[in-house]
Amino acid sequence: MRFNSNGKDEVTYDVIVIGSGISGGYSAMELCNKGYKTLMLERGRDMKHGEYPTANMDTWDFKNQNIVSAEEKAQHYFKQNRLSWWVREEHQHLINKDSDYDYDEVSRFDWIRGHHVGGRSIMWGRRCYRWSDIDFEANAKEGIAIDWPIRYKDIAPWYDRAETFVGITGQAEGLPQLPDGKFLPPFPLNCAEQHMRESINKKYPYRLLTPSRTANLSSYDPKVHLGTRGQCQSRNRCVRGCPYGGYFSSLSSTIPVAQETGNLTIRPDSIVHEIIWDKEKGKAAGVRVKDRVSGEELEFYARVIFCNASTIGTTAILLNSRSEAFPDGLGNSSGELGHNIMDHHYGMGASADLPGFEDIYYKGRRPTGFYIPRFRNINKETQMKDFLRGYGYQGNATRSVNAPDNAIGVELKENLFAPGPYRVSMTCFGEILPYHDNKMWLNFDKNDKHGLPVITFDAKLRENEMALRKDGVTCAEEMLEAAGCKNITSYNTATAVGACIHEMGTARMGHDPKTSVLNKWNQMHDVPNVFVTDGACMTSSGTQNPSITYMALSARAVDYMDKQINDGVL
Amino acid sequence: MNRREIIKYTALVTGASLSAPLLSSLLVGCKNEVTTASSSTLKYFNDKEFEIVTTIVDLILPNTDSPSGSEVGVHHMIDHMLATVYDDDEKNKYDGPFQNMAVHLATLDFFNQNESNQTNILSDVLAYEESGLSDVKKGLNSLRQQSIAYYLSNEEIATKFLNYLPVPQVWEPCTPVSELEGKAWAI
Ligand SMILES: Cc1cc2nc3c(=O)[nH]c(=O)nc-3n(C[C@H](O)[C@H](O)[C@H](O)COP(=O)(O)OP(=O)(O)OC[C@H]3O[C@@H](n4cnc5c(N)ncnc54)[C@H](O)[C@@H]3O)c2cc1C
Ligand code: SF4
Repeated sequence: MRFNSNGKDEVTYDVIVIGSGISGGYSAMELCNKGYKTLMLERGRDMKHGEYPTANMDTWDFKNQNIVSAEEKAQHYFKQNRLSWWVREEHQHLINKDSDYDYDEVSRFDWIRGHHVGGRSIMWGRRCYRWSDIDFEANAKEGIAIDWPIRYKDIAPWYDRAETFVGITGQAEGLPQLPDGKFLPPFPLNCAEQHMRESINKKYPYRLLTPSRTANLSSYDPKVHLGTRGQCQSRNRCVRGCPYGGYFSSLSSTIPVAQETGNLTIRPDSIVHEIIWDKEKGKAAGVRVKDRVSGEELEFYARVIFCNASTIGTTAILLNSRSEAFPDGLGNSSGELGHNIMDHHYGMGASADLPGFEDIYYKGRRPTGFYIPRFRNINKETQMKDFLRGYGYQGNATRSVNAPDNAIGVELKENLFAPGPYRVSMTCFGEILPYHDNKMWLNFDKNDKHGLPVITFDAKLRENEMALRKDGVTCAEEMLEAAGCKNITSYNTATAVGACIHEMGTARMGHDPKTSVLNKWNQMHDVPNVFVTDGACMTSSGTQNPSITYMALSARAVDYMDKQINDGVL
Repeated sequence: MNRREIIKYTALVTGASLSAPLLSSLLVGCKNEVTTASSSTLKYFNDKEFEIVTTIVDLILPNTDSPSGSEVGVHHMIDHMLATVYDDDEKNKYDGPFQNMAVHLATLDFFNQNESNQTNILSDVLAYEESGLSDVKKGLNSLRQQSIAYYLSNEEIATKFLNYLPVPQVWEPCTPVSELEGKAWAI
């Protein structure tokens, strides 16, 4: 390794990538494949593929039925545990402790994190959906915030590239709002879901229930799915890490490929505090790092820096990189850095029993479910009066526990081992508009234990989101009814911003340096040798799970950087 | 598949001799003795309350051709989970109805009845519609839900009485129930 020495040459790389999660892994792989000596800095501990201590544990192997004790939750996860489903024994070791690294909030913000090599690529839900021009054009058409500087045609080839490498299951449907991609065979709908698909389609022409598009290898091709990967075994334990390499993570996929080139150096336990501004050369010189364990302060230098510390992590680093030239944070001449924070919101939807299909079951634990893509405001016929944009649903139909109402004793036991009725659940994921007033900033009067100013959030759902939620609940009920479901129960409890774990938008892309931080290549308007390709770059939030878009934009930005270097511009 | 078979199988499909961390992830379940549910010291209930819990658990899940609730430690799991996982608020919400239920059952002379009468009394309680007795019903319902959940997630029940397939390998969307011996999936 080259960092352990005194001379400046020895700590100089071609490119520094900050963060090892989904976007950092992707950037690093593309950079290494192009021959760039790359240093990946990760604030969390080291982790290797295969180190998944809970991967084969069943409920009875856990201390508390896979639920973390109340005492531990109160002591260490007091913020993240507000998101009730998140802190579980199966991946507790992959969740950042709030007691180690806390934040402040004006209104509740759920910042859901994991700091280790691989970042949240280990625990993610793996749903991958393309954006369409309906998303890229929305801001401009509606006069909301600023226009995206790219359109679908700019990103489409990069989706092709990322999807092929990642391996995404899915079914082509030809929808304008959800372009088809390079799909592996889908995990097919079960018969209850197929029935839902057909009955919804009959009654509601724009609503379509399709198998989820998911980064699990339903079909493994070692020539394409490089890294330490293999066929998905349908165990649905992906959030714990998969010993089979059955799904895409930095650990199973991008990092091993980057390492194979010999161009990658990973330095875990390296908390990037700031990007160093070189006044003379008028560009970024490198990064200042504090070792998480030893407390040692170090500097690393590079020609180009890729910020992939996740939306919040990257924005905090940039806001903390203050100089005469950039008193409010690196590349922040627009004043937009930290603003326009978005996510998706959920906590609204419905579930119901679906009578019938008693003789038919399923086999295996499918690591995914179904998706109903957005069907509001996608054309004239679907235009809504009450709100802009739309929402999609994620859900599944599974057989529930067969415990007839109030049954006990022998009657209960005679039933309990048989599969219960099908229960369909669908949860709505809605778009959040980019509001300048939804923001994060650093409190320079209060430092954390590593000497970094504490992050403060102030973001909330507003009128458009609330109107959209109502519609989402109504439509869920309608669709369950159309399929002949019984015992329909619906819910609508607004989640905090952040709870969908799709936080984005705090260093947005745009045409104009006065109103945006990045140009159409994810390159800082103000500082051309700094690229941001995590969720901070997003100009609107869409309704789709965003990570595949970060990967596509990362690959695209690396390609552009490479051309700029070859042209002698960078 | 038992754990040894899982290890063999994993080695086969990953096409490699297993690395140490991979192996340890597979072995971890073997080492983990589940002591919590069988431990005899009570963490939440007092002896008297625990006797009530035990009686009711075994009325909800009596011994038939499969073990009763208490035979697989469901009563101790309830005690353990209340003590460990429930926060103060959840404990409060549990305690009131539980106590109300216990008092109410005592007034019905429940504890001196034979098993079949006791089962009938509990069935009656679950069917109560009077709002004045809703807390009593809630207390019993919680106990019933806990019993069912911890029974089905018990190793012996899950692996011997349900379909247990740790590494399914396939996803088949529509399989006849008859091919699965009419049994639900354990996990
Ligand atoms: C449970 C769950 C389910 C999800 N489901 C989906 C889904 O279905 N589909 C989807 O698209 N997305 C999903 N997501 C979101 C997805 O995980 C994120 O969008 C994605 O991981 C973002 O990639 P990233 O590289 O920006 O950040 P991360 O993957 O979070 O990686 C960032 C890395 O940077 C490191 N870092 C931060 N600050 C610093 C610093 N100062 N110095 C050095 N390193 C730093 C962090 O430790 C981390 O390792 C889900 C997330 C979770 C947790
Ligand atoms: S479902 Fe597939 S990818 Fe997920 S843990 Fe199981 S084998 Fe691995």
